[in-house]
Amino acid sequence: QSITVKGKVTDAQGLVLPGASIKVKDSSTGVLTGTDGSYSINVPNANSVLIFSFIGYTTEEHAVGTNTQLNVSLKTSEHSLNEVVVVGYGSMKKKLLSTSVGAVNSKQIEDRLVATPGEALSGQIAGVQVSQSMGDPGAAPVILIRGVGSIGAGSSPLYVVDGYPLNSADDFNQISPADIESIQVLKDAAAAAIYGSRGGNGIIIVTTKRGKAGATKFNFTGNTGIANVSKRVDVLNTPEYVAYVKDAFANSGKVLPPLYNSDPSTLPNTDWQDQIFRTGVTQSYSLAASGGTDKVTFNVTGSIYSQTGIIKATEFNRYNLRASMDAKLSKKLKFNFNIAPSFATNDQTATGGGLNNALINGIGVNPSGVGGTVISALLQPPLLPVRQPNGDYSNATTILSPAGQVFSGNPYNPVATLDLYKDRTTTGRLLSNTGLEYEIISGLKFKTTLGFEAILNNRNWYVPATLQSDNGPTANINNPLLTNIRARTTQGINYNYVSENTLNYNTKFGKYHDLTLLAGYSFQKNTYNETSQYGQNGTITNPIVQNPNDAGIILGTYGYTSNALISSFFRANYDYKEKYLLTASIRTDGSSRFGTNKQYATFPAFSAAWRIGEEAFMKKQDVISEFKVRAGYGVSGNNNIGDFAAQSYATQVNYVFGAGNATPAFGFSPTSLANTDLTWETSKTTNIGLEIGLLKDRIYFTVDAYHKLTDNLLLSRGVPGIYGFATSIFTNIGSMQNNGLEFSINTVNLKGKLRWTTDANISFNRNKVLKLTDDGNFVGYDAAFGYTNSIRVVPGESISSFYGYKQIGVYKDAADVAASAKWASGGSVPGDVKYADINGDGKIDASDIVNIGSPLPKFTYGMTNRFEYKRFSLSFLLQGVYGNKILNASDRYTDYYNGSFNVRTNALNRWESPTDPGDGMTPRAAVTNPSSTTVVSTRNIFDGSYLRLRNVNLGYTFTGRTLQRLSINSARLFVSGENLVTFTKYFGYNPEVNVFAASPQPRYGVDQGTYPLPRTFSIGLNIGF
Amino acid sequence: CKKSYIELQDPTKISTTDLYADANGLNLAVTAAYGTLQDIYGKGTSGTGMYLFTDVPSDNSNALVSGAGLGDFDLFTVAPENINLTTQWQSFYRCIARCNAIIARAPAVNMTATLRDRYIGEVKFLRALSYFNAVQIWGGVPLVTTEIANIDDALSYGRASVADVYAQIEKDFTDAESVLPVTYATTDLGRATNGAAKAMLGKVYLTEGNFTKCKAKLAELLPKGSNAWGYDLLPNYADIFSTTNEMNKEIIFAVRYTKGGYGTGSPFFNWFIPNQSGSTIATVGGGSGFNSIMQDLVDAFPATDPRKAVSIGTYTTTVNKVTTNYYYTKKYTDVPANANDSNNDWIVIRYADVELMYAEAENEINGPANAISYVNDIRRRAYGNTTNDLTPAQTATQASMRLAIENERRLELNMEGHRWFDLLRTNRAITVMNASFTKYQTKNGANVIQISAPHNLLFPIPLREIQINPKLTQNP
Repeated sequence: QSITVKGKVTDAQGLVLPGASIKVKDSSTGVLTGTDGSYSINVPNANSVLIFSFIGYTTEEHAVGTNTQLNVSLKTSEHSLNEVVVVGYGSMKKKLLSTSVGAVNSKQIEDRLVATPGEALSGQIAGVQVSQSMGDPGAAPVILIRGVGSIGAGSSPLYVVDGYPLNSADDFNQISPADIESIQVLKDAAAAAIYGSRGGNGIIIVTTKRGKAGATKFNFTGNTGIANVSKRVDVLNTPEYVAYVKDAFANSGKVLPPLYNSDPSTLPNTDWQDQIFRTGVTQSYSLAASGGTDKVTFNVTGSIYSQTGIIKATEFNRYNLRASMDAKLSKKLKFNFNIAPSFATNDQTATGGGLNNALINGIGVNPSGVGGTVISALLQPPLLPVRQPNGDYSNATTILSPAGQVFSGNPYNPVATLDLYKDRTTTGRLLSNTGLEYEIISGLKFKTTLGFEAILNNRNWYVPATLQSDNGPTANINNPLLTNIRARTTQGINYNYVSENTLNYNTKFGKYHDLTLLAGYSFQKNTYNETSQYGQNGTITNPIVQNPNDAGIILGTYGYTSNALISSFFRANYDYKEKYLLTASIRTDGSSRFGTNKQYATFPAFSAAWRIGEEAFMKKQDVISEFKVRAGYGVSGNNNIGDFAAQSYATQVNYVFGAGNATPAFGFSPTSLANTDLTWETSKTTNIGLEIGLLKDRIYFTVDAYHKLTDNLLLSRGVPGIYGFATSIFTNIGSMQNNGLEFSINTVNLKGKLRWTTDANISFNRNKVLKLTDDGNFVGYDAAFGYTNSIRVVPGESISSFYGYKQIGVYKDAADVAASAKWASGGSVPGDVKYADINGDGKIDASDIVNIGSPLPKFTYGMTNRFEYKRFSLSFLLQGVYGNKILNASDRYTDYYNGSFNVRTNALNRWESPTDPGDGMTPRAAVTNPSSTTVVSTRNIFDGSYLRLRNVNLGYTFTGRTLQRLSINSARLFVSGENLVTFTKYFGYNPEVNVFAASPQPRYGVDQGTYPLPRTFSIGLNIGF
Repeated sequence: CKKSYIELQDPTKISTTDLYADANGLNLAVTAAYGTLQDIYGKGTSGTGMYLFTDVPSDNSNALVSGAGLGDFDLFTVAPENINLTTQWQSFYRCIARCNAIIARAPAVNMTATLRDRYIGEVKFLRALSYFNAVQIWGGVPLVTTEIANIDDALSYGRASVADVYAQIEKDFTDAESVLPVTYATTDLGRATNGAAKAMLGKVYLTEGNFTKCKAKLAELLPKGSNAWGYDLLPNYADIFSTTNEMNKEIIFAVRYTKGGYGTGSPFFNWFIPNQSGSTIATVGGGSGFNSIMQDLVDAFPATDPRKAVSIGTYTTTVNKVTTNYYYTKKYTDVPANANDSNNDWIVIRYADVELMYAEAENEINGPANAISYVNDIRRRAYGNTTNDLTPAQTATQASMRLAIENERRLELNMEGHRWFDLLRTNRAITVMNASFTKYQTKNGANVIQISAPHNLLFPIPLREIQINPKLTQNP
């Protein structure tokens, strides 16, 4: 005889909880509460038990008995172990996990004024290192899970959004943080192996918000803030600079240009950093609606994110829509549909990178050599005005060089670049995912999903006739050069589809056995087409015409890549009394990326856990509420080597033959040789974990220890020049290990009126390269142009160490030079940099190059504290790394002392004479410098440890009649700050820096004028109605 | 699983297997091998090229820029780290690898034997030219004459002896000489001829000190005007370098360049003019000052030598009453289409060089008597008269004649990539350079530069190469 039970679900304060779930135990019957928190459910009989649950609250069970009215008030859960977490191809209760999974929920992400969800992850999960190495508007951070997983195939994790394994991390970055319900991070291979060849660097699973049955709820969040550069680099002002140039010319016995003999106070004193930085404005708005019936639910969110950068001419705007629908088509058939179109515009400019080789460059067939403005702003002589009286931008070479050879090379006026250089990308994306689930028999479900993604982007570059660059060093407002004009437009079309098909069987047998079996088959393919049109040598100087059509020479290129993956997989989860937990999985992948001999590979995994806390003998005490030990082993892979890497193709190399000036003749040459044995990088991870909950989980402590052994490393290995076809090629070579320890603790420190919680984590990872090549040799990379092999991967050391000379001082005087080892290439004089003669052979040469530091941190940590008092809330997030080194490649110019460009204020402590030797470490200024000042050494190496106050958020929640009269359910006002304070010894803009963030190679911690991080203050409002 | 689903290929590119499959593919591969000549002699924005090894270190020129390590070539402070060493090394072996692949694969291609033999001859010429330049820069280098199949293979090579490298160079030029044609169709102008192979072979023998063989080989190219190839001295010195007169009858082999945004333009004009000149000399692309004429060369020309005005340009700036003169070579003058994109070819060997080499060999074998007329040939063309012939004092002894020939080569072939190798060949580098440094008080820091053997006579093996393959040993 079925009974109807009605009631209300509230929180401890009596506020209604809409969307709470009520389920009949041991059946599939369930309903959700409406907007007023009420529910109504039919239960089979009086013996039925109802389970009340809501995310963030402790789940409760109540027997129906004779009640037809059952009001329940749920307590806020401290750390709900009944919380369901999403793992690959399914979900399970957190307490039944036998693997290492970290999670953050929407509460930990909301109210943050950040462009990408990744930024909000920083400092929140043990073992997940989020590095925001560049501050360009909309720029995404680099996420590393458990250290550097690969040498040459990239260490980016796989991102899975609502079951869709994304083709590139960038698709994750473009999700509006407001859309995210939760993010899970599968850290160990036992968890990640279900994604086989893509799981080697860990997996980040994103679940977006979905609708709940009930009246439609609306939610609006608006957040707006201002941003500034958080730090400056100290360079010389005009009087200091003039004195320094005089010294340099005197040391080299050269005639000083007359300009430098004028009274410095009569010269301009330009602060070039003031000229490139500005106050940026960030705005973020989102409006969501969700609701539905018990048959169909929906969620729709529209959001706008707009950010003007702290460097002029940079701007990012994004418009997102995300809609989802879940429908029960029949008793056995469920349907869901998700669609997320977005549109973004990104105005970039040449900011990071070298002197005349900015990171964002390469506009034409002949690179235009536009300078990186961040470094140019440091190098511009302060005695130059921004503009000349005639309106021209000042140009160091044309103004100062004819007067006396002051300059070799040219730091182009950064203000000219910011004003005149154009680079805009517009991107339209469409991600959709459609699923059908059919229950064949009770417990056996077949699910099929089809995902499709299209990314269309269009990028336009333009260098006008008036912009000074390598192509036209003297171009200026009054000297437009038609031949200087470069226009380029590039269109890229990316299509990706995935079909995932699974059979899932869940059965309970005996009284306490619970078994879930999963079998699946999937295939996924990605294609990318790119066309570019280049226009060179424009026909008119009008800066408005930015189209390649208006050019003297029009050229075009076409590019194509594709890859495909087919997979089958199987997984079994078993538990006994929720006490003994076992999981096993296996996946076989076939990939188009590898050599024909090695296209398939299999990835097995096992894990087990014992919840000792559930044993009878543990139930007698109430101090320890959870005590779980778990262990797992798994194999996963990495296939991030780009497409067609195993194959050999020829590219065009032209020459000219014939009478007169000759005519171009087409030629082709192979660029590498085929490698039919190129195969997967495989990681074998062993993970042991311990979780202890004390005082009803008021204190929850997790520790994980892991050993990850990666072999068949995919490596773009430098090959001897005599190989001829390429300077590096992809091979499987060597092995590497990562050992780590992760601790996290979540505590409720105070529970009363003032509620205070702390989440803290710290992670230690030790990387060691075990073997590289058969001859035990190293693999080298360049930290910057001219810094050859300054980053090395050496067996027995941690990956990516900096190598260079070790400075022990400067040669104080002639006697010091005579008594010391000297620079072999050209000798040394007093005031030159003095390096350690490591091998004691009496001269300083390449054999004295040693390991001078590692960019990998010794540990990383994060801590969030939250306080709630009445209607106020306060949270702050601290995050830091310790023990990493930075290689500053800008110092190749800014700490070089060749008496032309401006330099850092270090120069004030330079060697000037034997009686005025400065600080003993800073060399002399000279116009012709010895090569000893341009090599990599400990002069370039800096401690990159830092502690950052990443986020502070102070909120106030409004309640009361006025709101009710306005039909507003909730209103919250908050002020927030990002990157407020950074404690570090590093002089540069940002200790998280890495100019090679986009490179798959293990080049970390290199600073060469990257875009600094903004410091943002914002104010926001959240309204629910 | 459908296997074909994951068998994907790039439909936009030619696979390497297809490239070497037929006569047309082989033709493309040979063109790409010629393409490496531009890498070797100078291309684009890297700044590296043969001039850096042949002119900049010498008393003819200096690099007026300290960036990118070019200035170190002037001051004899080139460290093994210097990026230009690496770039140049890679350019040579890129050429050699392309040649090796063609030599290995051509026999299997179904085509006419004559054309196949010609292709093989052409790339043997290119391979020999690469090794000849490399051996003069570094001494013994790895001698690779077959296709390298994998990295382990590449790592198995150490440095070959200088003698072994020269043996291979002689063999390749000799093989090329035997199969290459005397001339090509005009559309193929610029390919290596058997005349070019003979001239280069003569230069190789001379460099090795084998004067008898040198003389015999170069004699095959004599007399001027009526030899089989029509090689001759042009009446007017300036015409040799004109971009409207490329591949004239004095040119035996040149690296060809064509401007226009094709990626095949010549960078030398922009590279070699003063970077202070802005757009006054080059209206497009400005100057770089990579290879500027030194006072020493300006002073070496008698005021009456017409070649001085043809060769040397002066750029003068006066700012605040301080006047500075910059000298630059005018042999590579052409309005660029883009920066580093002009028409000027790089002349590798021309007939005046052949006559002067012949004179040098003759002087070494038999003394001045029969050598004089070949040097005077060059002088008469330059001055347009016989009144400036070599003086009796210059031709008095074998030793004085040596200096006369050396000086004539310096003037006639200035800034064409000969001076440093000439000084090395004649064992005069230390004496001449130290005298020049002293005369002009050229300093590195506080001290006047003085170079010494053997350290300064060879360039360091690029550090990158030694680090990757420790089998390679460094030069002293």
